[in-house]
Amino acid sequence: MTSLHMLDTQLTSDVCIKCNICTSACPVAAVTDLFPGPKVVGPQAQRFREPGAASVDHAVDYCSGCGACSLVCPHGVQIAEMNIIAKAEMAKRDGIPLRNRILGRSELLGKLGSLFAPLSNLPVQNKVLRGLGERLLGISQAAPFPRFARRTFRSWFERSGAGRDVMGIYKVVYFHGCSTNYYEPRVGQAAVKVLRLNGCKVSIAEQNCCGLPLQSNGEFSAARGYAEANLRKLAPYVRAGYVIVGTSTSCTLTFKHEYRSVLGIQGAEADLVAENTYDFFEFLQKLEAEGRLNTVFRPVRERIVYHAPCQFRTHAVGRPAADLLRRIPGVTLIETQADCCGVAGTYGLKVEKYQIATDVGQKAFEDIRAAQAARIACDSETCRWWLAGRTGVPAAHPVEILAEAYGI
Amino acid sequence: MTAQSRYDVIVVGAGLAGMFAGALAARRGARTLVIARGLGGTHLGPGTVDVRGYDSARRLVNNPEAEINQKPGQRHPSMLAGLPALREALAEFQKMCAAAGYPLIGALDENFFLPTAMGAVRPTCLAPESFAAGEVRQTGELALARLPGFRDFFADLMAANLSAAGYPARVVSLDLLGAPIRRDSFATDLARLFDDPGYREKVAHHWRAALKGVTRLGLPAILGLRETDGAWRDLRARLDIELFEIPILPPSVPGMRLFNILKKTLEAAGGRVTIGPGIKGWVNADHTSQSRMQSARTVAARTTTARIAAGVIAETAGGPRYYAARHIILATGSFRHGGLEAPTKGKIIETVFGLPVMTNEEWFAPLYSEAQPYARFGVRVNEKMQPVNEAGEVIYENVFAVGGLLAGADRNGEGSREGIDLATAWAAISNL
Repeated sequence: MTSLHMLDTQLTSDVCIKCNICTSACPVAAVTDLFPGPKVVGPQAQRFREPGAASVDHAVDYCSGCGACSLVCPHGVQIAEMNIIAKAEMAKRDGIPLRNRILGRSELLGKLGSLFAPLSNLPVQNKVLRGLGERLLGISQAAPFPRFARRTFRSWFERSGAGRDVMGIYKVVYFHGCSTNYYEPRVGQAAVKVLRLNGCKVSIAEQNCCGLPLQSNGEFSAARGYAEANLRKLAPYVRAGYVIVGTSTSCTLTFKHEYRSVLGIQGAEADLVAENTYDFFEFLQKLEAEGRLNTVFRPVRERIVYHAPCQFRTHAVGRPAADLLRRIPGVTLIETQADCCGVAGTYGLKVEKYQIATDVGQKAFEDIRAAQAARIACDSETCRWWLAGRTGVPAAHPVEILAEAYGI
Repeated sequence: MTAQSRYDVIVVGAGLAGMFAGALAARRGARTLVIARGLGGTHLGPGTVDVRGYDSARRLVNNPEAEINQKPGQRHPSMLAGLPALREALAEFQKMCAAAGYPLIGALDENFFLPTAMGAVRPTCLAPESFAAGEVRQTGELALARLPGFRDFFADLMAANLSAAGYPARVVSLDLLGAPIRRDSFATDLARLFDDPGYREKVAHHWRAALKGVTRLGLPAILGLRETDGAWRDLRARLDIELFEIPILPPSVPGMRLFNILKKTLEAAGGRVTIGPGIKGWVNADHTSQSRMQSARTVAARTTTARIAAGVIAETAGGPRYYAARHIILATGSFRHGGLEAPTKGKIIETVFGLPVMTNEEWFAPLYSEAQPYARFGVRVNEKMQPVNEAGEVIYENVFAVGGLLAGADRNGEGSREGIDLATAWAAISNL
């Protein structure tokens, strides 16, 4: 299970000088003493783990994987990555609960759910069923869940003819991920329209779940299956001159980072896909630097509160969505000062972590309420669902607002 | 290579020098990005501004300005920046902190002598108000708080050492209510507790009996993380005694307060801070990219015409991205912070541009406590803070170096760290 690349990640514990900068930045340790903090469960515990052996403590399970620790470490210790690997080793030893197996399978859930929508939305909305789900499975009944769309994004794309352009200044493979395809096709529709308006030829290629939900829930071999399928399907596009652009910031991050640093996948295809993947607004930023971005906007008269998701921060590319939205006439953009909204993918959906995720998210909730905005803009779907559910303020992907400004 | 984004000023490094340079640049209206692999010096330091604490014989300095004037030392970074730059930089930094509700007090001609957590005496020029009552030359007995359960501060050791040095101190035991019990507490945990007025009220009530007869109390620096000193002010009023904070092991709460003030100032002026990616190369004016490995050969070569750097290369999650900039400010620090690396014996690399590094035949003094020659290694600059080669020629017209990366100062040994950071950042921004 431990590949050489994973070992590289684990060995970064050797450059930890125990300065505790990671602890000072950890949003989970800030709200609960069940989690000893990234330094303790990361590089400190790593020294007691033989390569391939189980985690020495269970506290690492409280790491939400937000990645704040790895970003602030001045020495390059891959703390969050090390923690995910330790959690997977632990899951291998202790077994994976049914709940985590379900939460990890967003593609399967999406396929089934969209097939039977709107009927499949019933369990999500029904209080009795949600109560059962909490008691039997451990999925918090208070945690907000999205609704399945009646029609998938892919079927819209096929019928719209949007993929028939012959030429473009860039050839783009749009990675929609599970959330856009099964829950929020409107995000993908906006993305495709914005790309085409800016002169890009768009293809949606065959694609699978990025595998991150499986990885986060400790199912590394299943996650690798998806990873390898995606690499196999997308690498030929890159070789043919395409760039990969996605609107699900955790999926694009998975291509760039998790496949290599956490799942330990090596080789030319992994590098090719990683280096040619762009998160949506990162790509627009590049277009603008090249003088190719259309910046003729219609006014959107609205107060918007932007939250930079923790997963987006790990891209380490700044905040291009906020920078662009701010320039739309009529938009008043307020940014939250919160490091993490708490949910961290599937973390906050789990009954034993729901309160921790709520406490972590308090600062984001407060900033959103104080902003008195009409909408939340956020690049990650799980953060959007969580923030909208917890604050009552509707949430959109920034590309939806941009599409409005373009009038498309 | 094509640019990912364009800025007027890119600052590499997010320690005090980098963040101050970034805040100054943003306030001048420049499109500014501070980019750094991880957080830096502020989170490790005591949160004070040392300008000159020790003379060459390692005696405590009372008047930093006089000490600097007396031994100019041509190549010393703060002398290159100049005394006026130092004075203005300190005043500007004080203004920024005061505007954030966290005044730093002190003056360039008089040091505080503050007690360290080990019970030694440390001179410093500017300090937050919450540190001032620790001044050891004040009369009256000190009481130090022993906080059972908090393992990053040993009041008994501190009191014994201070008393032995002629500053009588005793210990009072105070209970930390509500501190983490299922794991160790960190300074940040306690600071977050003290941010809550309800907690302060509870603690003040609980501590009153134990503090009978105490007039001056030292606590580790845990009184609130929000950048204002409101927690300290409030607790002092509630306890009705002279109360002071003592900087302790990292994570440094007072250092984080300074970082947060600078970040807010910078962002309020439209600047950006990106923490995460390392910067390990640059782009030439002809858009060819280079890494420092190649540069050790090319840049160090004597050049008669200064070149222009078009931008830097950031190691983002996906791979290298080129950020273009009109001006680049290196605030990457020395060996400890990643600005310099010594991969093999005798070889030193400046990690972004591969700039020439001023060294010495000898690297180490025999004893740890002695002045270490390597502490003075670094990048040589001119009075505009532009890196120069051995012949004194400017290497890149639009590249500046500030802070701990600079050659010529033993920042720890002479107690000059933050003074150099602020003065050189000020000088660089003034010369853009």
